Amino acid sequence: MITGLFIFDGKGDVLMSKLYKDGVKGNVSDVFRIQVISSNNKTSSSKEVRSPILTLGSTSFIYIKSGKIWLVAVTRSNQDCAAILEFLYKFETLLKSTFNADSVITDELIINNFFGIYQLLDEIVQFGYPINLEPTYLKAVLPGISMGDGFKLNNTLSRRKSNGGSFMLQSNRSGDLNAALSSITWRQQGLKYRRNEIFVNVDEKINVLTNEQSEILRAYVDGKIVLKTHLSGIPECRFGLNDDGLVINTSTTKLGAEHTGSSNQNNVVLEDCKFHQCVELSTFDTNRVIQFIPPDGEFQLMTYNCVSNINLPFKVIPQVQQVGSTRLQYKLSIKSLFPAKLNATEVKISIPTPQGVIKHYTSESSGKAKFSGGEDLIIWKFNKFFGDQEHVLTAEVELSEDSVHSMINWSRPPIKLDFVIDMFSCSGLSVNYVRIQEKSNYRTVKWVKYRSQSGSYDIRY
Amino acid sequence: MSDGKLFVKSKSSEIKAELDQAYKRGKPHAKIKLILKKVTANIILNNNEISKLLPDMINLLRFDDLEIRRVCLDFLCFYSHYDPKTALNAVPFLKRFREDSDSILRALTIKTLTSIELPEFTDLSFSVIKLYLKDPNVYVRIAAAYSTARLFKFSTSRVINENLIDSLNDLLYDEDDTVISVALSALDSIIEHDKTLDLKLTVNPSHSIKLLKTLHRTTEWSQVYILNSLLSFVPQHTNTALDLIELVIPFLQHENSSIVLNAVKVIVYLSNYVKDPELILPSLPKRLGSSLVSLLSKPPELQFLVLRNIILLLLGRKYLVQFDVEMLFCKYDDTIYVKDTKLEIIYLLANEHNFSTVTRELEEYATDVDVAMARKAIRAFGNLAIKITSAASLCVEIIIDLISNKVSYIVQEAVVVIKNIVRRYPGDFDYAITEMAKYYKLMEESDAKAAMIWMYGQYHHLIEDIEEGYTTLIQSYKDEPLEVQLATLTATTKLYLHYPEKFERSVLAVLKWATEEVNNPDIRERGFFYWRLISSESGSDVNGGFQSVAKQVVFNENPRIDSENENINPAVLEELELNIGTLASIYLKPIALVFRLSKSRTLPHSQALQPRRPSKNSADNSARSSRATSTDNLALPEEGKIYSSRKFNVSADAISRKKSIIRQSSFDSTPSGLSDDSKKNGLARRLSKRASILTGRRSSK
Repeated sequence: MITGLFIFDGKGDVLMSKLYKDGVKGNVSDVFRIQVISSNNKTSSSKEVRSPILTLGSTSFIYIKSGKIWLVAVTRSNQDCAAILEFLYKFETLLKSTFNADSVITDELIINNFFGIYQLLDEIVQFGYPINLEPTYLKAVLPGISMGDGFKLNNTLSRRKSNGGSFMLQSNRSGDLNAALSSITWRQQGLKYRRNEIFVNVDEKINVLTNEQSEILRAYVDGKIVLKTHLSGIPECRFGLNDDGLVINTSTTKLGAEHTGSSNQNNVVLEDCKFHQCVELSTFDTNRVIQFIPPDGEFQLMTYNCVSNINLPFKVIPQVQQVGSTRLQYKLSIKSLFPAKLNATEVKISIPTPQGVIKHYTSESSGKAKFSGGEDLIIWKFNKFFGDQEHVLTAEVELSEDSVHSMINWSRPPIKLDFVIDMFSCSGLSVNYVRIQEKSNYRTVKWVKYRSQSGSYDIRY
Repeated sequence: MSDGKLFVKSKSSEIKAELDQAYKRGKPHAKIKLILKKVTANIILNNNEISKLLPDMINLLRFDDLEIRRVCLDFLCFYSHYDPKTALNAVPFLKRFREDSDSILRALTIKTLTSIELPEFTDLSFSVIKLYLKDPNVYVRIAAAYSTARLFKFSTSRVINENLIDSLNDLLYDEDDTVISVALSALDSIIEHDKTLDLKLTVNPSHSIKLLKTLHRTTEWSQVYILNSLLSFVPQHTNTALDLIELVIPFLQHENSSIVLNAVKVIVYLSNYVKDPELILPSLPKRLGSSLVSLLSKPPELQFLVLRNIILLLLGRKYLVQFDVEMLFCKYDDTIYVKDTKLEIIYLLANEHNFSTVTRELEEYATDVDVAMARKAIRAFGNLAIKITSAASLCVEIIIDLISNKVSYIVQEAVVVIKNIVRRYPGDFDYAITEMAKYYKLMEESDAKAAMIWMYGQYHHLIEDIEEGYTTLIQSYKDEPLEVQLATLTATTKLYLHYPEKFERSVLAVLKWATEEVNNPDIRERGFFYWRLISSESGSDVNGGFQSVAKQVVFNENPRIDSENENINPAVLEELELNIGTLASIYLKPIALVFRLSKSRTLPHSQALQPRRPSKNSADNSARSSRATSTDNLALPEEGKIYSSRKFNVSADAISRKKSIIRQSSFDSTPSGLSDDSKKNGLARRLSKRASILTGRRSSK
């Protein structure tokens, strides 16, 4: 599978190398530096790589970027590319969570923890095959390795350690090792919490594309349910969504989908959903119950995809007119379609203008509009946008005489809308019940939160 | 404390000195660990000079500390071969470790032993590995399984003679699922590396069903390896295949994309053994389709991989997958390679019912800031018009509308496209030619120019002010690339035959240049041909019509363009389908061409195996779409033939060159009536003709 793994910084210096099999030598890193990193640096103007994979002879480089850092897997011959890419991303996540990186990995993070990461790589992959990236497993096979000052697998784990709880590996290592590798690989045994809690977060990203007549060309929701569990023992959780209205769309024709949709407007029709490895997929397949033994701490239970019966939170009507050869007039109205008692925050509408604007004028019924010359955008922002309201913006920009061609060649990039609405779900999906069963029959505190935000919300005009 | 400052290149002498210092202390452990971190840094930095530390590292093995031993053993794996003699000193330590009670140390021992290619180490490995394969500890069994695969590489025969493969096989019935999956992946790697023997994995049906039923409890990676191994299972009955498909379907719902793609691979594979799977499991196409589409919320690299596999499925298994074309529309911020691939898929998915949505979307791309994207969108219009008859007029309207902006690259791309469309639907879009011809001044690229020149020659009656336009077009013909020059020759001759007065000067100049000044034999040949044809006494026939015979020869009817019938070879598709999700699925080329070392795979035969359906869809679009929209390095298999791997490297260039010649000769109404049948293998035929002429001459001497 993976012959070797490398981490490079932005300049192409090797920060980490690990060879799993024969077939390549350490200096294969030079090839990658020359072929990909330096050529990428040279053509930074053309903003991105043409292909995420490079094959030279029988050797392939499969790579992703995290911030300025390159994570590269080197393989020989034809290998499972999906598994390798998926591994690289999971490895990136593992690095972030292990070493408390916020959003991207930096070269300092790698260097400051190089020894820990090197040993980590020795365990998560064996003979080139990814084995297990779960913190539980790693704690068991890498006891006593101090991973810099940031070695906290997650908060709960370190807390437990300080309590001197059941998680003492050193004492009975082999026993625990077998346990860590036993059938439920993602959960350690003997967890205990004074307060048993489960947090359910339903996060939805809505992606919309409308044309100049405000007709919807495409609208879909990418949703995910993230759980955070602090539960004792080995709890079995069952999860219910929208009682009877949840349909997984399997009808063979698109017509059929519309048909079922119209027959029952309240249905939430999911095109597809994907589950965390702990969910018993066959149970879900037969009786639509999501049943699982959760890993401890935070994890993504499921992701789903929805295209029909979407509650659009906003309607934007754009009017953009060219007056003469150098002037553009904008009239934009935005209407919120969600209930009046809710409000959207971080509402931002980015309206593109051609290059070379010399004069601009905006007038808005609410919020604040500003012209940003550097980005060639009019940005209209609201702190709070309540439901069931309508606001209007009129604006005009004038270009300098020498920028006439920039008006002609203007590509009219779409107007973009950003927002966050709490306690609102665009797909209509709702969590009906969460049941937790455990031998000791404790009571659990349950929290459910919804959040809808914009994914790519593009308005053409 | 941060390790940052230990991450430096050091000299072995420095480290040695530090070690000596450390020994002097009462409790050297902490200090030694710091030094070992430095050593690890140098391994990472590929500093081979530290190999001199080998004796010191072996010496450190005497400390009863797992952390220290771990680093030292890792060091041994790296540097033993620099100094095999010294490395032998480690053998007594390893002998001791193999019976240690700590399972991690046992696992490290076998890993180290099998990583060092020295007879003493190998002997020791064989003495313990069988025991380890039955070790009570899961972790050790895993290490032993992979160590067997490692040993197989350099002492193949011994591994077989000592029945290690059988022991590995026994692990397939292990109580622990992770061990089973590890054994499977180890066997997989052994099979991959095996050159001499013909090892094959066979899985029995009840075992695979049992595995699948407990699969959800294992780690995601185990699921990947176990699903992958199902390809070694040959269903003897349709029902077994169906049972397995139904068990695999839930995995389409997994969050890990490699599990999803492996599940798709298994389902596609098994459906070879079921007659009309889409009728028995009517929801299957929709589920496969939506499960793949929902992977498009993953990062771009994975999206790209998924999209390439969607193309593969659309080419060969259209009946097994179902997509809504809207879901595959490009997003404004998609990366270039994702957009490219989506565009190809949009083209493949376009049909009579959705073309109006598709064209509206493509129109949007055609005005994209990214020039490459805009060009591809226009090319897609052309291909769409040719693929779907009812969409043609809409496509032409949109193209004509687009060129009214006079953006040079759009117009040039449009000319090439329109040329093909008017060839496909003769007489239907005359207005487009009239409109197009107005933009002769914008022609710069050779493709576009050649197309424009051809249109001037062919549709002279539709073009206003032909003399001025044409003169401008061919102004610099002496410096143009070959294809433009050839087009110029033919078009000038045609125009001369139509308007002898207007074009006499041009034709004389061009033919004189072609026959006297040019070195290229193709041009000279054609130049001579026209020259003789026009100047021949029998050019005008008895009835005295001007050049009527020449006209008859030159104005022959154009062969009709169709979406070219160049099927991808089903054998190639079949092999790619057995490799869904792998690197080869990105390149979509016969696997042996890309990866010389990989073993070829074919569908194993069984009584349930169904004959492959002819993919009528690929007939319309395979080769054409590849030419039109894919980037150079990611082209679909051209022509769809399998070439033996070595030969291809040599001939690939020749073939692509040949293709380009054929392409251009196909729209030139070339000399004499030969053009009709010479379209496909024109070069070969012409070559053979020429050869016969040469020999004829020689014999006449």
